[in-house]
Amino acid sequence: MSQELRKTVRINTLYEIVDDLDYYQLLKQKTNCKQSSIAPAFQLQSKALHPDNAPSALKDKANYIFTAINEAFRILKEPQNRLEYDGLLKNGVIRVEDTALRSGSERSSANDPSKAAQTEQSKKYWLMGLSDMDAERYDSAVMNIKFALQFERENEVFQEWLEKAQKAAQEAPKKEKNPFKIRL
Amino acid sequence: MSLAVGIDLGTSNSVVSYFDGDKVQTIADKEGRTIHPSVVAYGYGNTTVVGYRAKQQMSYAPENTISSAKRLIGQHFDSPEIQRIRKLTSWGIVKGIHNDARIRVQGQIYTPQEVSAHVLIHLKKTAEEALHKPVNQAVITVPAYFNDQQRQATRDAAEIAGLECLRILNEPTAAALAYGHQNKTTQHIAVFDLGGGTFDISILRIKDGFYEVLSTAGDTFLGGDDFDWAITEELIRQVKQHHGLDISKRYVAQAKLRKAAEEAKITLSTEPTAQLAIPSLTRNKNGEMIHFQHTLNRRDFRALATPLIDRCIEVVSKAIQEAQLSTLQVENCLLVGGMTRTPLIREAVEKFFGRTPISSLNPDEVVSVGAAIQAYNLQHQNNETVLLDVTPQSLGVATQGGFISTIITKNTSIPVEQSQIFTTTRDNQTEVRIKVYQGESGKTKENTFLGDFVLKDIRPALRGEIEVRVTFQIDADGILQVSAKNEETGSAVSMYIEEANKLSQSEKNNLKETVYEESS
Repeated sequence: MSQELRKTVRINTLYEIVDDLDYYQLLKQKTNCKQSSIAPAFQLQSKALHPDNAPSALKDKANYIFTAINEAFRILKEPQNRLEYDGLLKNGVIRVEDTALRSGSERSSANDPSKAAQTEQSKKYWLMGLSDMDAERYDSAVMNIKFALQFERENEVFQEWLEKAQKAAQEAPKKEKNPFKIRL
Repeated sequence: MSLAVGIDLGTSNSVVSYFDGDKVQTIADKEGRTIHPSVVAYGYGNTTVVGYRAKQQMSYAPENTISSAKRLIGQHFDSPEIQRIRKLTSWGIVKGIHNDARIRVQGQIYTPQEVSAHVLIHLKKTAEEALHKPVNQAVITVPAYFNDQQRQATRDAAEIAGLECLRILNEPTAAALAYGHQNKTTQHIAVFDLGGGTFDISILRIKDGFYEVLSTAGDTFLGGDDFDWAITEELIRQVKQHHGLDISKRYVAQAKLRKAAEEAKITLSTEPTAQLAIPSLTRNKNGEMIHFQHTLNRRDFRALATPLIDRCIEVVSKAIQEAQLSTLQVENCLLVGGMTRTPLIREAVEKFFGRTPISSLNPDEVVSVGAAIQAYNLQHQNNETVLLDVTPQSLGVATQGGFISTIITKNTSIPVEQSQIFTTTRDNQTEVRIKVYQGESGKTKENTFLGDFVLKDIRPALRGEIEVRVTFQIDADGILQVSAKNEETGSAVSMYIEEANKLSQSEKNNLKETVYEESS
């Protein structure tokens, strides 16, 4: 079989199964491999499968496969991330978002602040504060978030957004006085 | 078969090279020159001239002669950089219909893409004359720190010039490829690239034809030009002091000073002092001719250059930190760009890394040589070389309150795909607008807006109830695709960011015609 043909077969086959492969399988390594063997394994797979070296007709498939290989290396090259991934892998998780490896609280606040309120009272002011932020009414946002904090003093997401709002309010060019409205 | 060349499309000068699989040739024009000024002069009838002939025109008709178009390419008119250089250029910069920066010469408006296309056509013709074959494909290099819009605008320039752009390659990566082609040792290398208009630093690991970029950082508004301007500003102060005349609005006189400043900078690379003599600089208020003379020594130059050099070194230490290395682990440092001939720069780099930088490669040609090698590799699918580059700036979407949620962080190796889940922020929201930004600030206002699109037909529900998955993909070509999917219904929309770029296909086709008319 010519080298070209072998490559074509390999890319076509891998493309069919790539979604079911875990990071170790993508790098052709055992789950208990030494940390130092990860980088050389990635280099070998890169030479074999990088889309730049793929036949023109297979560029898109090679790109899809190599994106997964790149992701495998990104996670496994950091010993800490690898350890966390090993734990997830035992529970049948084969691919992870980078963000999934960050702490839970950071994630929820970054992705969905509107769910941060824990009580009904705080929620009302919190959501008003968020819509103020949306509309760039920063002074009003500061007030609303402070109200929300009255009900939930320990809420880290509130505190984080209060800082954001205060900073934004300070930096915002002082336009005409924006009267603060209380809506109940 | 048509040939594929490597083009270093520089701010001040451009270079084109060709690799035939065996030897690399940096292409010379009929006069034997390998460095071609990226200067386009308008005003000889209905035509343009490019290169050395255009550069000659700079001193007597600066208002019709465009240099450094690269500084404008893919930039918003309102950006602080554009507002700053507006004050320095002898031609006009105006706002285009897409809020882009355009060039006004003799009442005509030109896009920077057109001007760059003229330079590319000139290089293509020079290469065809030297190689005796048609040249239709090219790898074109850009500063590593260029954002998506600047890259796309460069691709457009190639298209207008009738060149198929095989790849937009980062300049420092290209230089590393040229270095690794000669030197096969496994090592970490820093590429310090100070060109005419931009500064880049990239840290790479090289091993058996495997080139992995670990980090990259830069400043797209710091280059040799800025050193020239620093000297020019000093000369303007001298004129004011000795002749009592403010010439900051006299462009012809200023162009003369700038030319003298550039020459003095080059002289000071080898000599301790530089004598400047500009007879007939301009007339003073009484109509008398001013003959300007001044002596600049290395100490003066050091004082003017130190703030700029400090800015470079700051960027370098940031890049090393992000590569998770110490300066001791970086075995070699490669200097790229004509500006690195300046002893002050070499000194600063040597001091920082604690080792002598590599000087075996021509700093003006090395980038185009690397681009030529990559052009060959891409045409022949060479299995011995793999280049793994990174995305230089973070990419994200706008969230509540004008903030950014980052999806792909800078220095992530490409190709890459990453996604995040967002929720609706209002009750009964039926559509979500996804606005894509690039940059390191957490705020939309301070980042570059790349484009937006809308995911429609969302079921009316309470806020936070509907989940939307936003996915960013960057392929090996560096092209970004963003998609949004309604997790409830599975309906999805996506767009290529290039679709959001400034020049429409019809605009490009029109330009293609006019550019060819002008240059024939």
